[in-house]
Amino acid sequence: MIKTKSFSSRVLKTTIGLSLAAGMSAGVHAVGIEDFVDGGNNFAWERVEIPGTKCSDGSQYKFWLYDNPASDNVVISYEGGGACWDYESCSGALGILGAANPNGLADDYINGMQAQFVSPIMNGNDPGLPFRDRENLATNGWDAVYMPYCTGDVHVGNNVKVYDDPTGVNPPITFHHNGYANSTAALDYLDDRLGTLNKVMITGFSAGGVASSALYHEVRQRLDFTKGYMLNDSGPLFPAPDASYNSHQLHQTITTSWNMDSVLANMPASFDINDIGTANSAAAQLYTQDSFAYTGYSTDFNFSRFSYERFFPNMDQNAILTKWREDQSNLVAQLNTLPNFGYIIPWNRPINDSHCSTIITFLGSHACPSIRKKRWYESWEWPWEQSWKCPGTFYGMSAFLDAFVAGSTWRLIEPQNSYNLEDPGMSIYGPLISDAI
Amino acid sequence: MKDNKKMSLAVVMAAGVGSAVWFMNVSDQPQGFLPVTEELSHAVTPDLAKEEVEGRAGTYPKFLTTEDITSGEVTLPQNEVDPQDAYDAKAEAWAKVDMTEIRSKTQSNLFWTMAAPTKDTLVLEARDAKRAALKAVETKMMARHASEEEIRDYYSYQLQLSEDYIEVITLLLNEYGDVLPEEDYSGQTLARTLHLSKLQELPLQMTKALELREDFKQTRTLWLTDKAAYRAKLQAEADEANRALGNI
Repeated sequence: MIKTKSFSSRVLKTTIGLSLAAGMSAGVHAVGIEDFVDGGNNFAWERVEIPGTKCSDGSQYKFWLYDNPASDNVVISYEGGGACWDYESCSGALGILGAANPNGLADDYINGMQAQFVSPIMNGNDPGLPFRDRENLATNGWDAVYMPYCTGDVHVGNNVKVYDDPTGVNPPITFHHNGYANSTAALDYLDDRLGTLNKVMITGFSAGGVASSALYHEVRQRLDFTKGYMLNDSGPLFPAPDASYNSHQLHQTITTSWNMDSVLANMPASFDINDIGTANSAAAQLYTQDSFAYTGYSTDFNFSRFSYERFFPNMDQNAILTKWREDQSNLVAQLNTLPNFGYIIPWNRPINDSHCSTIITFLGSHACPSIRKKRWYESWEWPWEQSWKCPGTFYGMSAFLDAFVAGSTWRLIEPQNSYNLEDPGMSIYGPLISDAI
Repeated sequence: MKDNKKMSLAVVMAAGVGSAVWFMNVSDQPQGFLPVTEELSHAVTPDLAKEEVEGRAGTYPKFLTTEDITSGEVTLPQNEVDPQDAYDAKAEAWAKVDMTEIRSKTQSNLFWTMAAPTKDTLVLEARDAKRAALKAVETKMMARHASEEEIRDYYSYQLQLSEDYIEVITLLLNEYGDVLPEEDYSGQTLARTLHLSKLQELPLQMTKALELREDFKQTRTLWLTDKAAYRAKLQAEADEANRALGNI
């Protein structure tokens, strides 16, 4: 059991601070900058700007590299942040159903909260699990590359579009869907810079997860390494060979808007341009020595909204999630045919609408395949609010990652449950984390 | 936990309410989504399933599926937390936490309005309404249409929200940090850390939102001056950029 750690002398040590400087009203509990505690990464990042690479507004694209001299392994993390393909989504008029960083990247972007806390996978430790996994994650000590997202095209678009406001009220916008050029230029730079590598892991969350899957072949072609890993967090490329599949419209729309034909022509021969989902099998079948994995929640209410909301109007949350799980079942069926493609699919986490299972912390990203309702004689056990029980083992993300890097293929799905929602600890910190990110 | 089970059984029998509890809890699984792997064959052969790999924390089965787990226990490295122990610790710990006392010390704190676990439908409806209102302003800010007042009010609220959350978490950690299970202690600490980070970023975000609003106003004014020329200029720039990408 951990010991009490008093915060009172630190937190309530009020400073005049940032709030006043910005003209905001300083609350009575204003907190000072010295109150920061550790948790995110503190790598010696190098900012890389390759001429010709661009964000959506035409400004310079930037990415960051941490080159650990003691490591010949690298994890490349593609940032997520929505996507856009028309005026409504690219102008920001759809709110969160738009794209991140439409105004480019600041020079100190890497010091922001998102980049600092992005994922235990990149950071090599989990700020949510002190004393246990902080130094033990499989990617600890690896070189790290952080690929910010500012092109609205899941890092693979290849088009510059002028989008007109259909209402005619506001001016048109130019949007550089420059993701493919940025991504490939960065890979070529990394090849020159890092040389021959041992292990390379490509990962990313949400739109960055899509990039992980879509770019794997490019990574294999452009970098020189022995063993490769692709871990897609919540950016599934669902099978959708025809219009009867839920994600078909989304795939068709982005293929056109981002001029994807020009990019997809470079995919492995077994990739079918009419079924984006074949990217999963094409890479796994071509690179049989490498390991692939997908993770995401069965109740993801973010990527599912992107996938269906604009193509199937007037759906409520239940209808959207039903489509999501139909697509997820198709994906699982596809992955089950690939010996080197695993997955861990927990049911729900009350953080970020159950979107992304490797961001910020691994807390709550476990899967218990044998989870069940408490039995009648267990209902009297504390906490009474918790009506679910895992009689077997919670398979945590750190174990999944460790086994994955060791070459395992695990295929775990958690049945429907409310364990995390009813967990007395997570029911407090889950919503708070959601409100922070 | 075994002791708890026996005690629970005795209590139920003595109280004579066993049958009611039975009907309430007898269901093991909801009639909804079931693990897909239980419905599908998979490509892993029995021989392969016996292979093991050496990870950083210990030895793992090379192939592992939902079916393997539900049909019998699977051995994992010992550093994984035993769920039964963790469950017992969690139950024991939270029985000692008095959230009512924390609430009495932070009555007007936004935590109770916006985040605290509750089944009170009025609170939940008000929470949803507030979140919808915040989302509406966020959307306007992303589109750069929000008014200066909306931007300032939005960030002022976010500031208050983070400060209030930090106050409650700090109190919880100070009062009960010595009894909370590790993962819950860590989770609360992480939430606190993130809100401290957020507080640091809010002023710059607000400044940026105000700048973008001004930029948009100027852009719109320019566009209104000569819409056709403005559109033609954007298209020419886009064509040039597409040439550089090899699209033209």
